Amino acid sequence: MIRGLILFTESLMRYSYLQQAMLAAVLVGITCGIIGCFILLRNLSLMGEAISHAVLPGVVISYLLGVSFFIGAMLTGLLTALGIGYISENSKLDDDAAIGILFTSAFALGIVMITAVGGTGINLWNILFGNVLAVSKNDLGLTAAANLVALSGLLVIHRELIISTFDPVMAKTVGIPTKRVSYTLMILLSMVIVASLQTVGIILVVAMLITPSATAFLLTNRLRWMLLVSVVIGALASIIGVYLSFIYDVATGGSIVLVVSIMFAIAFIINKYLTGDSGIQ
Amino acid sequence: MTSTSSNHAVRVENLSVSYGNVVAVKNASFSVNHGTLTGIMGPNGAGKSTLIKAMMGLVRFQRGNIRLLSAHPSQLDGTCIAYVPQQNHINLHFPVTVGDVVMMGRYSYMQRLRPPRARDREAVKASLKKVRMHDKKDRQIGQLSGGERQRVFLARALAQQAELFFLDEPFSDIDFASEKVIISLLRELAGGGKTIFVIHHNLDKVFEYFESLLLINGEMIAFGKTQCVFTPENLARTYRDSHMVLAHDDDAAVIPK
Repeated sequence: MIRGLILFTESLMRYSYLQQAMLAAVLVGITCGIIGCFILLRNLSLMGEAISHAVLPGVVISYLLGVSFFIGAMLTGLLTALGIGYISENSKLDDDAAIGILFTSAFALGIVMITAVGGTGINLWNILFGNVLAVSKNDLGLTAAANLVALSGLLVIHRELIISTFDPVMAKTVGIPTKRVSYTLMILLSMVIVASLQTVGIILVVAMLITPSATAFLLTNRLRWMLLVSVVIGALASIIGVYLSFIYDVATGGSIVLVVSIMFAIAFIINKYLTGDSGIQ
Repeated sequence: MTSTSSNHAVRVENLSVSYGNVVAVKNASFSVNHGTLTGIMGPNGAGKSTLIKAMMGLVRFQRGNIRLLSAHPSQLDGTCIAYVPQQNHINLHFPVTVGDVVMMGRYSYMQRLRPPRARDREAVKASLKKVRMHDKKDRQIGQLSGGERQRVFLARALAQQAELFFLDEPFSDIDFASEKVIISLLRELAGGGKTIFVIHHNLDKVFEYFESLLLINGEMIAFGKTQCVFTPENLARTYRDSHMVLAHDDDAAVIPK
């Protein structure tokens, strides 16, 4: 254990790829922890799942056009989110059915495109499960910028977001454009998901959105504490996850998600058996 | 007729609202003066909530005309209308405190990216004192009794310093003390010229609480002074599908079928 820590610290000092990986993972942990609180409170976990899967065809299209994967991924992610809203508003299907249909369609399209193009140099495994150790300086900058934009966006609309989540009817009566607020949240969410792609990959990114915020939700009673605890859990899990994956040579994304899942399990047990559902005041 | 309209706080003419093929509100026409406390009554699914949502400018209506404070509902700014939601539409686990909820009422007075100012905090404090909940301002919203929570939502409406108040069943499932606090505050507001609509489900206390009454069952059945409207005949028409109305002299009882 101690030897592992020393080895890890030494390597962290020596190798820039490891530093970049660590930074990227912590950034993703922080941003996902914050936006995840709003996603959880608005019951949008499945929407996160949908957007993340729908990113796949966008990545392939970006590759074919020779543009940054960010652009295509954002685009197909957002289109899917809009499509889900459109189908559930214009049919008797609920959101969850619309989500089930659209995200699998987009995902299937991505898979077919990858196999059709062939030899693209796109590493499907990396997209699906992330490869944080391959994060370049450029990628890190892009991730940081996307996270910064998403966090600033959340800061600007946080009051509208909280009121329209808590009491949508009252929100409208005080003049909050609730539809525009929820579309803005979708855009920011897509941005965060695309920025998380390289760390945890599209299959596991939902865990970074939901598990830290759900853990914080169990432990706290006030939004500011929920946000803080969620960020700490997201960041801490990322650090421990990168460490474990380095020491034991296992997939980083999976390792981060497992750590955060264990944290949730501990919080659940504390909440259920020790505190009696009151949380931090 | 139009010359008197500016005196009315609320004027609704021939209002009809449908969702798809389902008509929720049909032919509602009434006007209410400033400082009136009006009860809205009718069976479940009678269009009470739809009616107030239309008045607040939240649902599109197919026919008719609504003027609030002599303006179209959508022209009013966020300080004019205060809304108190039905209890069971609130997520009790939401991580907000009593104080946070009341501060939401100050939304239209606050500036983006600026923290609440002294006058916002003052308004929150004063409103919480009025409903006698100031000592519990740091409680999470789910840790209150139903009556206490209802008082908190009324405090939020007070903090808004609105002209028009819409309350959706504020008296259901609450304790007697809370009910007294709420009704006396509503009377005080009406006395100060505020116009208040209350969706009400309980037949007793109607005389005591409301000076004016609107009965609705899809179609508007009657509107006017409570003593003129609250009659066995009108009640029988309002509740004909779902209830039996027993009338004897001035007394009436409405029993679910």
